[in-house]
Amino acid sequence: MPVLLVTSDNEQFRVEKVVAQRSVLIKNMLEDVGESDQPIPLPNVTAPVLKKVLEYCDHHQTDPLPTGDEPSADESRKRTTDISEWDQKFITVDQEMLFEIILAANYLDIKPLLDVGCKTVANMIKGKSPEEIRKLFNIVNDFTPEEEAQIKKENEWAEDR
Amino acid sequence: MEYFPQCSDHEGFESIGHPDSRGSPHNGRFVAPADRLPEELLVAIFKVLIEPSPTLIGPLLLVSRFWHHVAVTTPSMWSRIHSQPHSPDEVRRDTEYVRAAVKNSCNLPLDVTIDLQSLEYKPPPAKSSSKKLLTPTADEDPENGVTSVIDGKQENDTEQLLSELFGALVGEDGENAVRLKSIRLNNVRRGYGLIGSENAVDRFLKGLEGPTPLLESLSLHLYAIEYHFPRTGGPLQDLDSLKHLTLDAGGYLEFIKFKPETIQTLSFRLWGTTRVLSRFTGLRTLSIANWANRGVSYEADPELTFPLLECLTLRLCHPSGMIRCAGLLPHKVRAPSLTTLRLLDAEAISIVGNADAYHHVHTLDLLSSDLQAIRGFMKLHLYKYAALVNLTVFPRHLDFVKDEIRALKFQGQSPPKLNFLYTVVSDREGVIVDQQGAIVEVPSWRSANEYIYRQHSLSTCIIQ
Repeated sequence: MPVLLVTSDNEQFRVEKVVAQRSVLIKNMLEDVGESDQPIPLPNVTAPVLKKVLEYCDHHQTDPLPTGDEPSADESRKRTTDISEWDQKFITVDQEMLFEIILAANYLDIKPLLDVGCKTVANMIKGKSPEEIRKLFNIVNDFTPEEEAQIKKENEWAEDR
Repeated sequence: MEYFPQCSDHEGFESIGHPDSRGSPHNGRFVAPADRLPEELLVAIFKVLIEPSPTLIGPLLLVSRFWHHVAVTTPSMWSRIHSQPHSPDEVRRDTEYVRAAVKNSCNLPLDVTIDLQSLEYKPPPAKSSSKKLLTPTADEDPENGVTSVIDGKQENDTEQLLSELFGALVGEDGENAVRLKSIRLNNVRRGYGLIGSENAVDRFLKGLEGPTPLLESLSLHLYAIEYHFPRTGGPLQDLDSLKHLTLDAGGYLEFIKFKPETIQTLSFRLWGTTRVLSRFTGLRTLSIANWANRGVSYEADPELTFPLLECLTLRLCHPSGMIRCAGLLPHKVRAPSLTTLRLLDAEAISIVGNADAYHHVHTLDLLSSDLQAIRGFMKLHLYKYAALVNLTVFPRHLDFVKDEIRALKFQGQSPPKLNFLYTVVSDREGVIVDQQGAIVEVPSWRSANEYIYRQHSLSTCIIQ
């Protein structure tokens, strides 16, 4: 049975339940309301972002759902895997969209997507100096010169890491 | 739940102020996408970033007030302490880092790794009047074309620096020992040993004679343990909480006083008899590196059944090529609950294959550089692993293994549940395991989850 999702900019998406339920938030909502054709409002997600998120959910619809308590017997499932090729391609988006996807994955409670987003940003930061990080993300250096000097002095160990 | 210390806990931080009060870009001006992330998501990203090494937190402190605030007020980003110095200067630098980490981690339990395997003392070019060698070592200086030496003063300096590093960790009176949750100490260097670092490590361990009630995990990589752990007394006597023990060192397990029945993870060098394992009744993970067997045969050993054992790792080639009886190991160690079998060299692959053991596992690692051993195993034994779901190999063997599986499918002999191939990409520090030139050895004492894997679907192996 399809589910109707309504975004903050009032667009409607009709998606298969199995796809929508990749979101723990939506899954819980559906469980709470039971069988119903009521639209589900998603006030924190815009249409372009939801479209992208649903693309991810659709591709991963048959993946095992993370349970929170991994069975200790299945040691292999705890293994960390690299971002898969498909996910890498999926997450190759502009910075604006990347952070919107992370925010949406957090709001919708889609942990694997949140992990992919966080890994991607972490990979972007890796090996960069503070100045390069600021430039990359357009972050303002809001330290006063005195503060910056003080923090640098306190953290001399942090140089060239 | 994170404990967030008050800003006043951090000297000098008051002058910077809380980020909410900063002249932030949130006030009507353009907000950069990264600036829109709430603190919890920034922490999530930082934690992924510092996963390979917690010292990578360094540059984050200097980006902006908000990032600085998030970094220094999240104790869990500091409670994993990692030092791997390459030079005396880096020992000095890491000492400062350790001080900051101990302070910023507040009272959280500490996971500590001190890895001295890459520490080299690079002395200035030696003059002809060099002092007498105290250690039988020489270090070639390629730039100057002269042989430089490590003298007594340099040894003492190294010892002093390392003592300061260890001191920063445990505190002046050893007061941080009660916070230690895990210790990984590696003092096995390639090439030569430094008396200074041996002494410093010994002092560090002796400084742990007080209670360590939280210590769950102890991993020691030393030349020999008897030097640091005398048969009576000595450090680390209070190991009631210990669950994970890795001993990559010469010497006997009983030099360290732990309760074998509480150990869930054991990784060690097997010396001659499997009898020693009989005391470890609660094992879930067991890693064995074959070691000197002193002519003792396992023949007389009884079979040992580990009802809870889930993961077994074997590396069975002995480095000195001594006569081995490891062939009997799979017959002696029974593990009805085993799910994961990791075979890390050609000997382990061949011995386990021929023993017809552990066919009930669903995850199998064949991580030998020896393709012939893998080929033999796949042709002769893989079909017996009826429960197998996951198979892991080195990247260079991926295509070969896919071809073999395709051939097995064609013959109707592929394990029916085999669904995923994994290749091991790198360790968590980012060291690529399968370089173009050579494969970096996967030591038996490193657990499977210390590596990053790539998953490959086996659907492409289905015969059309």
